[in-house]
Amino acid sequence: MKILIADDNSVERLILSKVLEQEGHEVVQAETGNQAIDFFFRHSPSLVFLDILMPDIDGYEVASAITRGEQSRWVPIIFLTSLTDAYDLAKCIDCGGDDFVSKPINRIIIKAKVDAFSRIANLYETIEQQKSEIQFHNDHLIQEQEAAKKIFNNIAHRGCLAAGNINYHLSPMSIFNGDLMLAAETPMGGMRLMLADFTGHGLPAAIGAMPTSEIFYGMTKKGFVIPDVMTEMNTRLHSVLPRGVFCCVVVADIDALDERITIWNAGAPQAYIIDLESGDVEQVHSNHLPLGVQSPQRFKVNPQVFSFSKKHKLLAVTDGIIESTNEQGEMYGEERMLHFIQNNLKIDNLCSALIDQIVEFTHDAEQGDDLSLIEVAFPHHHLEQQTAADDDEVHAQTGTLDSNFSLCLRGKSLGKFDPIPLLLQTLLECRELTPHRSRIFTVLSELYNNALEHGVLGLDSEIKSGSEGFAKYYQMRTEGLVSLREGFVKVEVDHRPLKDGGEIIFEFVDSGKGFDFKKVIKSGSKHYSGRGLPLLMNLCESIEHFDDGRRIRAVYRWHAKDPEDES
Amino acid sequence: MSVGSNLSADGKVLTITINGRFDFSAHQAFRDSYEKLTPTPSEIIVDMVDTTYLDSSALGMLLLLRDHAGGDTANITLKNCNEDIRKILTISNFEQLFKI
Amino acid sequence: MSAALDLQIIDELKLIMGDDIGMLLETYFSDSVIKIQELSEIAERSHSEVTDDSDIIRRTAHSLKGSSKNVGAKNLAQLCELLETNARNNQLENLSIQVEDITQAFEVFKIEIGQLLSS
Repeated sequence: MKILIADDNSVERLILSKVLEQEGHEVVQAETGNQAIDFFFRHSPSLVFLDILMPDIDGYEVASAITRGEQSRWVPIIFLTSLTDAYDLAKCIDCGGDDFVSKPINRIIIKAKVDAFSRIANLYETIEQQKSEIQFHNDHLIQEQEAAKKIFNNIAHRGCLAAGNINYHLSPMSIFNGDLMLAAETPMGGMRLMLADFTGHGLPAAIGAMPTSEIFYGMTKKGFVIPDVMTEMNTRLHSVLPRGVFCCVVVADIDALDERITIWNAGAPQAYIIDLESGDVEQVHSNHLPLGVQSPQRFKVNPQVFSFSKKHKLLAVTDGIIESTNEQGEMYGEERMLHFIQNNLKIDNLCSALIDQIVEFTHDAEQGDDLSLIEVAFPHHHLEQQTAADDDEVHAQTGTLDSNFSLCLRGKSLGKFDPIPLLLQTLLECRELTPHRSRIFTVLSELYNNALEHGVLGLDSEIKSGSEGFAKYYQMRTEGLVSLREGFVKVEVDHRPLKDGGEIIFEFVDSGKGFDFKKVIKSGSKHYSGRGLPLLMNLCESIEHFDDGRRIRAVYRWHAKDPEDES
Repeated sequence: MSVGSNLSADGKVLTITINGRFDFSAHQAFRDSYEKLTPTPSEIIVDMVDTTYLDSSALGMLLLLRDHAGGDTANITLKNCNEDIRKILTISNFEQLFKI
Repeated sequence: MSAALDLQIIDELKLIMGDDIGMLLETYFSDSVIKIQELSEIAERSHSEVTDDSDIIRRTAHSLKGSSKNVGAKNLAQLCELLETNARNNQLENLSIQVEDITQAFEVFKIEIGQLLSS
């Protein structure tokens, strides 16, 4: 070590120097207080011995000058004193000294103290070094997180969260709390929403969210139903996420045409379907393990169906809301939540009102950073508004403009496979059809479901009246599909170009008992609970029934470039 | 928070107890209580009589335990869960994976 | 047995300084001469007057005491301590005598340490 000695007594100075040099240290000698200060800043010693009584300024002043001037490192100061009074000795420490040593000096004591301080100084230096390393890594990490956030935003938030019927709270930090909120319009004329909560925090949670959102947007756009999307997500997450990391999710399809909501909750706190008129609140509880836990073979989705119209609202939250604690350690809890909803039915923006309440409850604005919730009202049916063609669609590529394809699903396959996305995609290979995507989807979907549900399964749509009826109907549908062994639905699609566009002929044949279609057309829309035949008749140029209602032929006529003419 | 473990005399039943909060701080201790045992016990009991609280990282740890004990063939019982803990397990549908 | 030399300290000093002990003692001698000179001057001046220089006397005696202890000049150190205390309490009636004693003790030490080291 380099050691500075300040003592006006040459003999003392010499002896101490010699002692230290024998221990291998480098010594700088100062004769006066001012010289000591000067030498200290010039030579940067690691340790200082200060005599107290010096001719110009005393040791105490030197000590404070040193400690004031040296901010970046710690230099121990040992006073040399012939004083014996405890008060005086204590004063040494008070004035910025770290220790004192009595005169005349004892070689052994000097050695011991120097060694001790040397150890402490090394320790201090190590800590400083580690501190800068940590600082460096921390800054680095923050930069990476910022970049990751931006990438994540681009991928995950392409959806329609900005839609007029949605209010939501999702803080920028939520991403790194593992919360994900996705919303997209569905081809069937409605909206699909998903609120997900990945276990864990930070980058691992955020990374899991990426394949999840890709799957969500990709499959929703193609018209896949919730069970298929969830199955794909679970399979992916099951293989990708480490054991012990999983995703709690609430996903819902709002069908604007049918005025119903299909909803599934896996491991998340209950979601609420609120009837604004009657004040009834339906609680949708979790009925499945979170995504990523169950192996694909055992994974099975059973969504629930409720009626949902302009007088309804959906509210979904992550557990941050329920678990918000106040100063007494009480959690906000589900009861308070329900109570809040029931008392605030008329409020337009339930979302921000709830957030305000929670912040008030916890007296801690910071907790607001960990809350995610979404409030969804009935969406506008977007078949009424034309959606623009995707920017990256290329014009004048005919693809399947002139084609005929058919598919027949029998028995168990009928129960297990949904052919609509496949049929739609094949048709949409013809790029000119892109602006018509939603209508074509609706036509396909309606025709297929009629053939499947009313035809093969023999379900009577009258069961669907009333909200309990909905649930019952879809339960029967699910059970019917699971136990289906025989029966078939055959689809044939014929697409031909015409001078100003094209014509698609859909032909559906089912193995059901048939029905008196003449009677149904006459009696009007009531039979199909608000949609169905009238809508098809609206969208299609013509609809014909054959074989006692078992075969139906629908013609869809489209014109290139001005699809607004189609109503 | 502390984790205790007790192996039966014949080495077939492992009982793990968790006192206090079962959260991420229990991570290492929990793993240590079962990881090194060979052969893996055929039955594992997690006794939560003194467990006050369970969070999602605890759920993750239970999944890890299940995986270690053979996944679908594992025999794990979660015993003496209090009301709050039961609720969390129910929401996550963990009764599909563990005996409660 | 000498009262002037603290043999233990001197042995330690030999261990510490090694061959440089001569150089150290030279430093000590020249240093002390200056200090004793100062004390003598003050003693002469204040023959008649009560002196204001008690502070200087105290500090000089203190310093000389310190270095004398370091080199094992036992007697000398004791005398300096006495002078230092007197100066602090302003009891300087015997200043001249005390300075005389100190000068003598110094000479004795010089001789004795010289003898010790050459043997």
